[in-house]
Amino acid sequence: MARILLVEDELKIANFLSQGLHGEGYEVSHEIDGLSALQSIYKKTFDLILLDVMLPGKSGYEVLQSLRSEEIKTPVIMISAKSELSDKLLGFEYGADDYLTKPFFMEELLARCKALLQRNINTNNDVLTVGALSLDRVTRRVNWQDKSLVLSQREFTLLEYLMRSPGNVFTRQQIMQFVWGIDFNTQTNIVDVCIQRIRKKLVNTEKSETNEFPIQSIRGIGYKIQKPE
Amino acid sequence: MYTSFRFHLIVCFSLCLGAYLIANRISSEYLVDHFLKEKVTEELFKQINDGNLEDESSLVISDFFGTITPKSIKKCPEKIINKTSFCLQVKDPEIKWEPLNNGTAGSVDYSAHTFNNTSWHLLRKKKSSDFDYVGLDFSESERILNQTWEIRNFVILRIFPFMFVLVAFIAFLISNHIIKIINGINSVISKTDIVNLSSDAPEKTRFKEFQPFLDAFFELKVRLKTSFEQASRFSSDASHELKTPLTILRGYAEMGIKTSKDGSNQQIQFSLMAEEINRLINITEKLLVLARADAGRLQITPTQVNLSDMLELLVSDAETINADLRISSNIQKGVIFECDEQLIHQLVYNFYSNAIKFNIVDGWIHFKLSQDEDYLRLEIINPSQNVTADLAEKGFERFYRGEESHNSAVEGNGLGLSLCKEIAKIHGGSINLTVSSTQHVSATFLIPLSSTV
Repeated sequence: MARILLVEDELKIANFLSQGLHGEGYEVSHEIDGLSALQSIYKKTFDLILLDVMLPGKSGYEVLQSLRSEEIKTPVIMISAKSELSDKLLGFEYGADDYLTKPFFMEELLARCKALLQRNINTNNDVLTVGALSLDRVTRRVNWQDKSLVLSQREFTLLEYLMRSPGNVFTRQQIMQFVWGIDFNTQTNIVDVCIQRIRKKLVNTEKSETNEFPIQSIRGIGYKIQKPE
Repeated sequence: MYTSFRFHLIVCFSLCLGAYLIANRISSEYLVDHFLKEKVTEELFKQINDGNLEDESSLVISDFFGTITPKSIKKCPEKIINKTSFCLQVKDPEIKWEPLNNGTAGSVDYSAHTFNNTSWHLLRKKKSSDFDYVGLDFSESERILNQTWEIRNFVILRIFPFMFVLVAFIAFLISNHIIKIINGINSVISKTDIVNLSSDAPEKTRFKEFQPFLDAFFELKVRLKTSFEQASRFSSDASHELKTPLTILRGYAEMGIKTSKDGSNQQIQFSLMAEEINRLINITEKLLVLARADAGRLQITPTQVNLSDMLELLVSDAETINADLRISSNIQKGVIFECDEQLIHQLVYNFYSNAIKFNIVDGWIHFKLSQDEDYLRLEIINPSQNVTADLAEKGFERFYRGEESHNSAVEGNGLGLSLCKEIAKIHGGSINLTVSSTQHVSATFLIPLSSTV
């Protein structure tokens, strides 16, 4: 399983990140400052490094610079409360592979970790597959059992969002914000309407008793896509 | 009513010049007159007292008037002058004698008398029963004097225009300098914005009287800048400081959702927490953008954005989202705008959220997008109720949420429009909020196309 080094001085953040990553089956090491992070990187090899920018001792940028100057090409995701463009650009300039600003959703981090790790082993990133459901990111075509069709933009984004983190429960608000970019309460059930549409498009009503559709409604909260057994 | 300071200064200077010339003339006439009379009488008095008067004896009055020869000074009555008539005149009782008291040796009387168009200064001294007379023909010195005045007037008349021009010019220069200083300060003040309260070197002037003023203005700028920076740093820092606890809160709330049993009450509670934390995060991020805009550090990442597509998508979403509202649109195709997509998205959706929030039952929303040679105009209109005309001003106040919206029915934090304003500003545009008499609220985003980013 992939090994991830988490460098974060805020223990409470590190704690839930570690748990979240563990939950996805990653092996997580945690360091709380830049110097010990560097020592750790020189001793062991990691598949991915999550690097906080503001660290005691050596900053995340300095750690990243030392790494890259030593020709260590482990993918690095910078994590920072600094959301200004200049900070992000600086991160990329020093050789970061991704930059995530606090506060972020755990699924977002997991999705990006997964993407980077997959990129590293050269798998096809265009097709997202969960069990019998597969989604082509390029053509927006979804395949479910014997059906194959193209989704509308919103439907596609929603399905992709759910499929990136199978087993994870998403609140309606969270989906609304990600898919529609709406961060205010519209007092309507657009998420449910959209899910219904996807379901209608994919589920063959004649055979519905045999094929359980993987999007599951969670009472009072939202939706999740079932993790394949 | 304004009058020109420069005009006033020139008039004042000219009046001063005129007053000087008049005063000069009056005083010099008086001085010359007085001096001459004094000098002449003094000399005559000396001579009459000494008793050494002789015919044609010369009398030096002053270097200026040259030598004046007293004419026909005789011992009266027999030989007073060669003009007998004059002798008679002297004895004429009409001559008014004034006593002169500037001597010690006996009483001497003085009279100025004109005879045959010739001015005479006359003195007499009592000598036993008779008088000794002395007379001085003053016409010569008067002639010289008049000539002098003429020359003087001639010169003054020729010089005066030049003097006036010179004075006006000096007044102009002085007023110019003052106006330049004032204009300089004026332009600095009018250009002074929160963004450019930068501490350029203080303005300089050559005059010590103005320097304290300029220094004070510069200090004011520095003080303003400092306190403003503190304020904006505070909100920026506060937002940053809030991010860590918010990250932790959301992380654990998410973990709670994930680890509790699907559909359990516990999971619902965690999701409610997560939603509220999300709202906090949204407010924090908006505040951070505002703080950055205030500090002039709001950066944009411009890309070519198809506004038509963005709006079409919003309209189709709105049709699903607001089934109770009639959605209509008039969107020009292919409007491309170079902008920060995320920020413009925020602006458009803010307009949209306001249109929902402040709509009426069975209402509608109309979306408009148009572009001509000069302007790009994006407009969202909705009917409303109880909207006051001052919405246009108040709407942009931070945390303002409308008259009756401090109840929970209308959600929102009142940051939206002030954020929109900053977003519009950084894209070189403006936003406008108007309320028609029919209570139609229209929010417009207007970009002059010559100044697009």
